[in-house]
Amino acid sequence: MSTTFKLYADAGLTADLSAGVPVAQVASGGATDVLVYFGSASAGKTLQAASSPGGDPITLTPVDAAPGSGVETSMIKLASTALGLDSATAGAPMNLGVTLTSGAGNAVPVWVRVAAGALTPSGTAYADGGLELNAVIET
Amino acid sequence: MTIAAVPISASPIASSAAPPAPVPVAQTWPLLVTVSAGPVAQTTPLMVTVALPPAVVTQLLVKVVTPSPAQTIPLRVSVFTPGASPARWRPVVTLGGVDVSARLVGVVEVVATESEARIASFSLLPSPGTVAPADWVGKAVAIDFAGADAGGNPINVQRLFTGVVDVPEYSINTGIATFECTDQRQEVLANTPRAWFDAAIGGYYADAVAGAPVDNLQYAEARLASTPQALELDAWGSPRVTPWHLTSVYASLGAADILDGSLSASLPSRADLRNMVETTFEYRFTRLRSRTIMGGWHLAGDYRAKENLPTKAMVEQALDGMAGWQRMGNVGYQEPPHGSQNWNGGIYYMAPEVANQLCISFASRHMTRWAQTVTERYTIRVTNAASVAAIGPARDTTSGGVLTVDYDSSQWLNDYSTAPALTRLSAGDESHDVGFAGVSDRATAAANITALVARAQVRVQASHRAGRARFAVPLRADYSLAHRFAIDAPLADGRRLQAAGKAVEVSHLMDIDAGEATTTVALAISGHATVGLQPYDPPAAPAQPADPTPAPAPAAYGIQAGTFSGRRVGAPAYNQDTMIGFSTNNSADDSQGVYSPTAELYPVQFSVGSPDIESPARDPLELASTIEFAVDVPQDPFEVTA
Repeated sequence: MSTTFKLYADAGLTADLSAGVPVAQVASGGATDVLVYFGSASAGKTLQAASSPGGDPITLTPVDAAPGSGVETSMIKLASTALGLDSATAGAPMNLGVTLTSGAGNAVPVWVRVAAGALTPSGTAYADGGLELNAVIET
Repeated sequence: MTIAAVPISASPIASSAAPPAPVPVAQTWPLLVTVSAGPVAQTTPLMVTVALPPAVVTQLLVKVVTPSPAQTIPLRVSVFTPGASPARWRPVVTLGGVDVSARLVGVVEVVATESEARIASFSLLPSPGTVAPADWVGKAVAIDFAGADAGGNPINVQRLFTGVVDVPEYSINTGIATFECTDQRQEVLANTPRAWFDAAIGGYYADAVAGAPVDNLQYAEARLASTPQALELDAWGSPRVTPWHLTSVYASLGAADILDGSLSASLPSRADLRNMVETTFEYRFTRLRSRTIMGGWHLAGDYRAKENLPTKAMVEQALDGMAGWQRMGNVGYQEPPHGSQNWNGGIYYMAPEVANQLCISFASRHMTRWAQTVTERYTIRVTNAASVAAIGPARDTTSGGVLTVDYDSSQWLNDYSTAPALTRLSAGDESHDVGFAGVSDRATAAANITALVARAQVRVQASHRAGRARFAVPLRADYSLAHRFAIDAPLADGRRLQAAGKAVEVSHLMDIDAGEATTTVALAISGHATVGLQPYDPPAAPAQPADPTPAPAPAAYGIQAGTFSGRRVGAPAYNQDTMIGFSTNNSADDSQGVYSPTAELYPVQFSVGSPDIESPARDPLELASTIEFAVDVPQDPFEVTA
């Protein structure tokens, strides 16, 4: 069963980023910060962690499908605020809450910092890095 | 039990026709006694009905939900080398979360200025329908610069601005809405924790210099004034602190990189330079002082030759009457010997009960308290000697600070049990500078002086980075105020400009109608005409100045009391102003033959003269000093050659 909770580019939860969060990284440049939102545009939905609904947190965790090449988890930081990115630990999961409710007003801001300036410029985007949402139950 | 009885008086008596002969016969009337049982115990049955309750079934609603397995949202990281504007570019603007890029007209501009709010402006044709400009105020705005793929879709999106609409305008003539936007630097910084500023900015903060901040923004600005750094929000609206003098060059630009005719340079006028900054700081506080003196007196001459001796009560009355002085402890007396003794050819006798009321010497201890106002006035002078040598002194006087310790000393002065005690067992002085730890004490004064020094140093450095080099390039979204650039390119007049400096203004302009996208950068050129190392003194506060109050004369630690006798040959006229101590008269048998019955009779009394507190210790004390600090000025390359 899929969930209606996704990452969106806007707080109004209109621009779905399920296909991927675009990050423009200048070669040899500094890290790029991107602000996205986690939420559901559907009405009356509740989301909890499947491992222990109402007990365990819902998390986003940096992952790397191809360790050793492309984007590494050590290049990714997550935080709920822009300032929090400075002190966030690269590769560490971000806690979104124990229970989330749908609706634009309940969207959770997620700041993503990608420091991939060391990668070689290429015509196509590096897509091995990602953000993993843990197993959840939506009711 | 009940008893039933027949009354004797009611029982019938048998009668006959003829009266019988009276024969006395004994008669018996039975007592009829009925004994019955008491109340009978009764049992009322309890009617208990045992029945099974009706069955109640609570439904357990179990909904089986298939959990959504862990899923991964990919990060699509496009790594690209920025160069000239892409052949196809487009602005991406969202207003209130809605992409309005397709409705943009005219120019989209973003201007980032060092330590100021980032501003942006753009225009669009609103969607058909009702236009309510007031609804746009405060709407979130994001402006990106992107390349465009063959389909016109944005690629390599780079953020230029994150903020809100400040002023929307709608032209009823053109139907175009124009938006002036701000990144809300003030609001963002006001809501940023002070701990972040402490860590990110550093510098110095002191209330007496900066004033009590009304919000965290003022707190940040106060710290920023004491360190050569800039504080603004980046393109994403995140606070960022950047040193004025960056060591690494982000981009080196030549003639091929810079748009023709866009390179220019300007130098600061001498009137704008400040190579000597003076400021002052005053630290005012109360110095609590105390002095302990030792009182003492010994009768001059033989006590037996005196007509009267001082009583202890007389002495204590005099001692306790010393204005401003408090007797500490008991007075130690030496009583005259009692009993009989040979004297002057006769017998001198003093009864014990008389002798123990008198004294021929005493010792006492006294203390006084007073408060002295002390003002330490520091003139702080920060100088860049190399600049002074190059252009002469260019002074600037800035406001300093005053730190005053508010203290009401009246209780301490009047109640000697009030701390600090400042008592002594021997003659001497004690003092205590009033201060309140953490509020206004010497450590606080030192912190304020340090902050003032740092602020003055920053003023010198700031005035020496007013030189500017400006250039424009095809839009480079990655250029920011956090970068240092180096230029080696010809000016419009053909001369070659070689310069480097930190960006203090970065302006991105996307002209949709003209199809032009440019970035204009202004660099701050720091330095002056000098070479070689420049000294730099870290901000610091001077040591507490020593108390310059001179030690008083020894007489200041004792009382004045002598012995003056009348009825004595050669006795001067009594003068109560000068004859301070015990005044008495010689007795007729003074054994020395100096008794004179015609000489002036002195009053028998005891007086003491208390010492005054010398004016240097009592008057307000002002301690002025000048402290000098050196500051260096970073030297950025700046050379124009033919």
